[in-house]
Amino acid sequence: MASKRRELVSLIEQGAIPPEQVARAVDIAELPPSSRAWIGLIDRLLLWLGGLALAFAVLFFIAYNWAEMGRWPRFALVQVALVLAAGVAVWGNTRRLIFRVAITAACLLVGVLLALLGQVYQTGADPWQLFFAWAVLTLPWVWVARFDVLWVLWLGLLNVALWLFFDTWGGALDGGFIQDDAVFWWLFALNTIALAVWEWGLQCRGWRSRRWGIRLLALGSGVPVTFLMMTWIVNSASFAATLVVYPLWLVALFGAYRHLRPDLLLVAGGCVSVISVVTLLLARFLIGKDEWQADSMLMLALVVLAMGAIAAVWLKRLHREVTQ
Amino acid sequence: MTRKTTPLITRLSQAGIPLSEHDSKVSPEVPWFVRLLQAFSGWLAAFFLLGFVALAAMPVMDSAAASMGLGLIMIATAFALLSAARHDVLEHLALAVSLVGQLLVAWAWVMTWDASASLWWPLLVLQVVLALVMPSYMHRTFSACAASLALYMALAMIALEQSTSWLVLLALTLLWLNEFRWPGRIRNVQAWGYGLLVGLLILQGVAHSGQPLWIQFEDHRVGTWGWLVPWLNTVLSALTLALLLHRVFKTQPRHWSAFAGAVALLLVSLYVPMVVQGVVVLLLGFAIGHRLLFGLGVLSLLVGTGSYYYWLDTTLLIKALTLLVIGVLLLVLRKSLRVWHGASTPREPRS
Repeated sequence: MASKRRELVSLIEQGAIPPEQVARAVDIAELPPSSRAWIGLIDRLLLWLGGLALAFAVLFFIAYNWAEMGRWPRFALVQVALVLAAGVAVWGNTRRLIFRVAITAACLLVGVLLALLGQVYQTGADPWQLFFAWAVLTLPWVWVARFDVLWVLWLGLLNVALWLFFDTWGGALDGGFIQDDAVFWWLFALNTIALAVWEWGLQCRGWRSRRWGIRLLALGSGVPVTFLMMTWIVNSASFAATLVVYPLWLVALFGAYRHLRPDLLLVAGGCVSVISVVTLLLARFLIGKDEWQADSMLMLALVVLAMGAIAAVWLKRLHREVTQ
Repeated sequence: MTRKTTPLITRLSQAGIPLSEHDSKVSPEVPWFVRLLQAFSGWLAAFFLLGFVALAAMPVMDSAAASMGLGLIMIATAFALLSAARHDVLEHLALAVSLVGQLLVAWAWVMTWDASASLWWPLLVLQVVLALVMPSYMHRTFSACAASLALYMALAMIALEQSTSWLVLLALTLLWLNEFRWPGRIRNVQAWGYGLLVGLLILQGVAHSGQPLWIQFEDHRVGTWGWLVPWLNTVLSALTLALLLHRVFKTQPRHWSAFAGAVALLLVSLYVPMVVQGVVVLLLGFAIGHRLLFGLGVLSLLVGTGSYYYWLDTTLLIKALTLLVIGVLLLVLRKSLRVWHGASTPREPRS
């Protein structure tokens, strides 16, 4: 069903509402929020911005690396802030909002403490170890918080740790186009498993979460597998696992989000992936390694236009079906 | 054709607003992600089309006049295509043709003026004109975004680039607050509003992070109006907040805490400008009941915070102290509001 705003815009555009009555119709539709909603927003905003400003103040201070301040006061500062945030989370655990802000700040401060450790003792640890340790240490808090923002941040930490690991030990982006695609396989596996678990939790375990987390994870799954397919097109012509995994991923994506749990944003993401892969495949065949030809360019432009138009028409039709 | 009855239609009818069965042929609103897909394929096609023009008509690229002529013809062709037909294929084709035309016109100006101040003002005018006249939602969005970036470049030539994001924010606030003022042009206003918002996000993310769109402005500056930036930003932010307050007071009773909040935001904007811009977009989205705008406000807030870290105008120590003071003040303000508002403050849900 269309949202109130979308429905109102549609009625105005159809000319169903006389122009002189539009302003009244907007008021009657109650698009602007009530006083109570405003107070609620300001209350939440002040708490979130205030809590995060304090956590970021500690982060910025440590990043400044003030030479005149000894190591112990610096450690004391971060640890006191961490204990305070954790204390507020425990003390305020009956108030969901306070608990969430405090536990998010505490999770951020764990990372600051780890960064300080590396800064003071020059541990020589690789950057990926910082992010991995950060993720491991905050897992219990993320687990008990049952807060989708924290889960996404936690998965973000694992993604960064993986990327930095391959960046350190070779293979992330070895100059030119991608030579070693291992990092994309790992990122794809991590985000796809997380996506499947999240969907399972929503469907079977009654988890309560908004769709944006699922969508971010689908993006985290789709981007690496699309890159894997593009890497195969550029680097190799022999059989590879990508040739099986990519079509399977597409079938799963379209099957799940077209039929089982309609989400056209994700279907559109799949279309973008297909357009990118097909364009690169055609470019590989039409444009030789060093020969750029005018007719090939024109053909590619027309094919891209056709694919984009077909996808748009299909998505609009699906949108009409879903909204009716 | 009989229109399906919905709660909104029932409410409008009960309020005495007659709903006519005027025109049922208007297509339903296209979701934003479909427009994004259209833009993606349009730009990708434009890239290949430009390659085709460059290879097939190489002499055109060597002459400023020929580039300009071909560019203008392509823009005119795109306009004709968009005016004549509403099919998706044609809209895609027109978008790609127009983008190539704009690149050719820009190329002609680059050949004439290099990256000097003279280049950016005409580019700004071109994008504004295209945003106004091109009969396509996607094109208007793109041109509004490109206009905000061209404005940034043009102002950078006189050392006023740090005021661009406030100017763009003021313009988009004006647009979204007047979204329903011209019933026949709602989609146009939305397209300009989204375009400027994307421009603002780019400016927040790139322009203030010490890498101002990869252009060495110092080599081309024609004026130094940098001293004006703090004053101009204060005036622009005050105007934006006043507009927002004016809108809120149309539907809500006036309360001193709203004025106090606006003044507090104004003061904070002097020290943490990008973060306040995010808060303003978020409040704007909430004020007009626009969920996507609200979400983009949260994104703007995150981008602004990241940008603040890399902002070169002040040290990390000063930034840390500023955030500390702001954090404490915000929490004290929340506590005070809860005490003053008492019963009207919503009770927090228990976990």
